[in-house]
Amino acid sequence: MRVPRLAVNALGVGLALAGWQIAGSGLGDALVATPVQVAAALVDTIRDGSLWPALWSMGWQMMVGYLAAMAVGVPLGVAMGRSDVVLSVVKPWAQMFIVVSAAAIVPLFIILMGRGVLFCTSIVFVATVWYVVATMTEAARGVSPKLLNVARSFAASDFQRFRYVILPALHPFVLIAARIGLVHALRAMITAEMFISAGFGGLLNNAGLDLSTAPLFGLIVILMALSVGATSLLRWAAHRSAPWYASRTNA
Amino acid sequence: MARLSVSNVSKSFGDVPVLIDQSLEVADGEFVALLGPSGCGKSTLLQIINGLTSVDSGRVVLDGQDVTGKSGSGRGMVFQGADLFPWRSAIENVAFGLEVMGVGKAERLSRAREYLHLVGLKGFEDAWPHQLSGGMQQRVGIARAFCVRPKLLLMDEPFGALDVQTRDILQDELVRIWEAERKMVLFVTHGIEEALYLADRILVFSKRPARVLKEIVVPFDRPRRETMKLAPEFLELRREISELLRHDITA
Repeated sequence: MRVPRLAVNALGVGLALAGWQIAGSGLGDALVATPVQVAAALVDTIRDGSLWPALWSMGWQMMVGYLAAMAVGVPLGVAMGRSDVVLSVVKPWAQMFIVVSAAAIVPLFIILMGRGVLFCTSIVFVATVWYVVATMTEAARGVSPKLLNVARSFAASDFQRFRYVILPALHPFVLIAARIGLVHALRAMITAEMFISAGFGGLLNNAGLDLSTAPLFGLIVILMALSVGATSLLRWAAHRSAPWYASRTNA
Repeated sequence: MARLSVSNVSKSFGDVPVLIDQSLEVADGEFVALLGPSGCGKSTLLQIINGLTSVDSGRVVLDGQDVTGKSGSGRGMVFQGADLFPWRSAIENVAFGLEVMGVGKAERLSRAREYLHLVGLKGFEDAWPHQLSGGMQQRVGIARAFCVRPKLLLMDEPFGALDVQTRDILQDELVRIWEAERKMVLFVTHGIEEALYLADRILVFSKRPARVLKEIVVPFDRPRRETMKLAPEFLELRREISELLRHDITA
């Protein structure tokens, strides 16, 4: 008999929540708040006025850094994938930056830029752009030489091969890079805000100092919901705009 | 009168000579098969005629025009694995060559529809390539090459990746389409039966570096029927070519 997937998912979540509730009851809410306590704290946090402005300021500053990272990362990654010269110039930097965590460069950026908008957007940009670059480089290197040959056999010019073969072949990967980049942008933004005790990261910081872990868990749940929501939205957009790719990978 | 003349073409890849001083002529409306063992260089010759591969020396002249090293103009190519653009629907794939040539949308789609119907894919205009079977994909590939109305059709083992039944059907389809729009065809294959069934003339190539071992004018009338594959004359020619090739490979 086939069990519906949704039911299995729900069962898994239910079991985890039950285990969490039992553990929380044993350890006390200073260490592990129970789901029931977290739900109550979540309602309080949402009612409290400070959440929405914090989310807003986090959201727009992150988006500025993220969109800049996409705007620079996609063309740069494509150039690296299609040109050996660009690849050999940029790759060492990309490799260096991609292994450095955002937290490690935050102190330097605070010294350089202070604690304002420029700082937050710059951290997001630096932490995101190389993941976008790496994704697009691989995608651009993977463009089928056979299909480029087909275009050539129809006498397509360099520009036409770019326009009719490389660009459409890369389209689904732009959306994949957008998804990967968004996750890194959000992480970097939270890290930056925790350092300067501002916005949503600031709330997380303060909640960590609380006697109960319930509000902290509540904020983490909000963060997870945001991240999952945003990446799902991007995945949906990818399926809508490149159905040939989506249905091929789902097959 | 359309005519193809290839004279004294040589080509090496690095130190490996693939073609040495090869010439061939194709007359208007003639169907010529290039038959030989895999990897002998016959596909390279086809790509040279298509302008996808450069020559070390020699000339390719189509209708009095030197097209050596230049792709497009008057030639249409059908590739082994169909090699359709996965992000284009069937009809958009067929219209590709016209789009490259700058033909307006309405005109190129109406012409593409006509050729899609000719290859028996009415009703599949909006299908994605991955939704089509291997045989149907190759029908689209054939329509794509016909749609630019080439004088010379180049086919590189177009049915090599298909199962025997599909191949037999597509061979008949190709003959039917070609009889409706008679043009020069160069058909690369390693199938002796296929070459005898389809071609007016067969050039039997040696192992690498490729040279013509024998030129065979196929003595069967058109239209050809499946039953002729069992005629004694057909079987005798088949045996003769088979021995010629085996002798060359073991020599």
